[in-house]
Amino acid sequence: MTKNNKTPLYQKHIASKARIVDFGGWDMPVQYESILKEVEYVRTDVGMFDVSHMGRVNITGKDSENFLNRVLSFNTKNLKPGRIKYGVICNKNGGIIDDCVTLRKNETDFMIIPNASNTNLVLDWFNKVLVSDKYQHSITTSKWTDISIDNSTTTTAMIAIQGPQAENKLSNIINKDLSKIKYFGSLQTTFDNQDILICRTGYTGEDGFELICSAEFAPVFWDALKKSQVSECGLGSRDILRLEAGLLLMGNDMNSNTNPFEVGLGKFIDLSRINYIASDALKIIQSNPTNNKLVGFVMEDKGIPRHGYQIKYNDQIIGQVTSGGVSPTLDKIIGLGYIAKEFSTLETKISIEIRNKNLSAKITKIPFYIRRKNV
Amino acid sequence: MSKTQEMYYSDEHEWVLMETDNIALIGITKFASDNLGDIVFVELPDSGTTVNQFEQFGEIESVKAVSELYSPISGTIKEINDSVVQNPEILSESPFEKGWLLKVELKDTSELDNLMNLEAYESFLESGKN
Repeated sequence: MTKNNKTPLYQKHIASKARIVDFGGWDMPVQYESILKEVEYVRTDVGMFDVSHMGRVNITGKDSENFLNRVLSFNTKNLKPGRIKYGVICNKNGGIIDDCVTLRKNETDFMIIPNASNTNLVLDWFNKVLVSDKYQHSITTSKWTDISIDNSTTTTAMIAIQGPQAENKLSNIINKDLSKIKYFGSLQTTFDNQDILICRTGYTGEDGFELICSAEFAPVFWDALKKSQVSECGLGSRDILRLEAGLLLMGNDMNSNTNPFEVGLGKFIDLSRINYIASDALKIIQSNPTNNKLVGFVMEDKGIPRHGYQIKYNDQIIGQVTSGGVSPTLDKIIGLGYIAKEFSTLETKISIEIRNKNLSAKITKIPFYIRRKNV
Repeated sequence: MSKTQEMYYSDEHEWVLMETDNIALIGITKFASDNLGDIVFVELPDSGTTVNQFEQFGEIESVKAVSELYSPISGTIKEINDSVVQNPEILSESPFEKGWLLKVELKDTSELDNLMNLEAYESFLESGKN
C-alpha cells in the first residue's frame, strides 16, 4: 500500500481533531465537529477549507496561450490578465479528462487548478500533446519552443475561505481592500512579507476566495484565520455545499466517458477554434447528441439517493443517480443524475430505487440553491 | 444519568437495556453514533414485527454513508421511537437515552449471555478490534 499525500496543513487538522479520510490519494479532513454545522457556517458566516490537494500547474512562456488554446475548452485569447475562467479538458474523443479553472497571471503565465486525483492525468495529457505536436507536421500546431509546464502542488498550499463574511474577514486579516477583486478575478499581493495569490472563486455557491501561498507559510495563515473566528470546515460539508449549488464533481457526476454537452457544460466549449484538439470529436457529438441528460431532482418520499442508485419512471429504468444527499440549507433531500432526455422536463415525477423500494422524487432545476449576489 | 452500567452491548455497537423482566430497549452506542457523524436518516421496522439476534433490522444513514442496524437480541417489537425517525439528530445527541430505537419483548432472555457488559465493551473498544 502506498502512503497517502499530506497537505502542509495536515498537522493543523490533527491538532483540531478532524476526522481524516482518503480523498484522491490524499489524507484530508472530512469533518471537524459536524458536517451539517460546517455547511451552516459557510452559508451564514464564513468557513475555511484546506484545498491544497487540488493541483497547481503553471504553464509559462510565449507559447502557453496558443498551447492552452489547443487543450482547453475555451479561447484563452479572450482571457485577460488577472482573470479566471472555468472550463473542461477533453481527450481527442471529447471525453472529459478534468474540469478546472484557469488563471491568466499575465501575457505569458497561466495557472491551472485540476482536481486532486486528476493532476497527474492532466500533466500527462499536456505533455503527450506537446510531444506529439512536435513530431507531427500540421498547420494547426506549432513546435512549442517557448513553453514550460511546472507542477507546484506540493511546494504551495491552497485555502478556500467561503461565506458571506469571507471578504470582510479576509480583508481585515491581510489589511487589504478586497472589494475590488471581481468574481473570478484575482490579486497577487503580500501578507507578512509572504507572496499570496487571492482568487475570488470557490466550490460552495457562496462568495469567497481561494488563496495560494507557500507550503511553509500555510500553517501560519491558517492560525491567523482561526484566530479571526473563521470556522474550520472539511470536505464533507464542501460536498454538500457544491451539490446545493449544482456544481458537478469530477469522477462522480462525470468522467472520461461523459461528454461536456450531456452534463450541461456546453456553454464552456468554444468549437470555433481550428487548433482545439477536441473540436472534431465534439462537433460530431454535438450534431449527434447522446440521449443522456444530467438533471437535478428533489425527493418527495423520505430516503437518501446515493451514487449509482437507479432512476425510474413508473417501473422503467431511465437513468442513474450520480450525487445525492441532504440539503440542510433547503431542508430537502436533493440529487443529481443522468436520465433519458424525454423524461427531463421540470416537475416530471420520477422514482429512485433505494433498497428495493421505489421512492418518489421530481425533476427540479439546478442549482438547487442560489445565493443573493453582492459581487 | 444514562444507565450505561446496566446495559448489555454487542460488538456491532448496539445496546440493550432491560425495562422489565422481558421488555427491553435497544439502541446504538455513543461510539457508533460518533463514528457515523451527522445522522440524517433512520429506517426502522414496524411495530409488531420480529427481530432476530445479530440480524439486520434497519438502516441508518449519515451524511456520508449507509450503515446497517443489527439487533442485539431476538423478540417482537412493541414500539418504535418515532421521534428518532422524525429527527435523526437525536441519535447523535443522546444515543443512550432519547435516541433509543426499539422497545422489544424478548423471546429468550438467555440471549443476553451472548452480549458484553460495560466493562467488557469498553475493553473491546480499546482493543481496537471493532
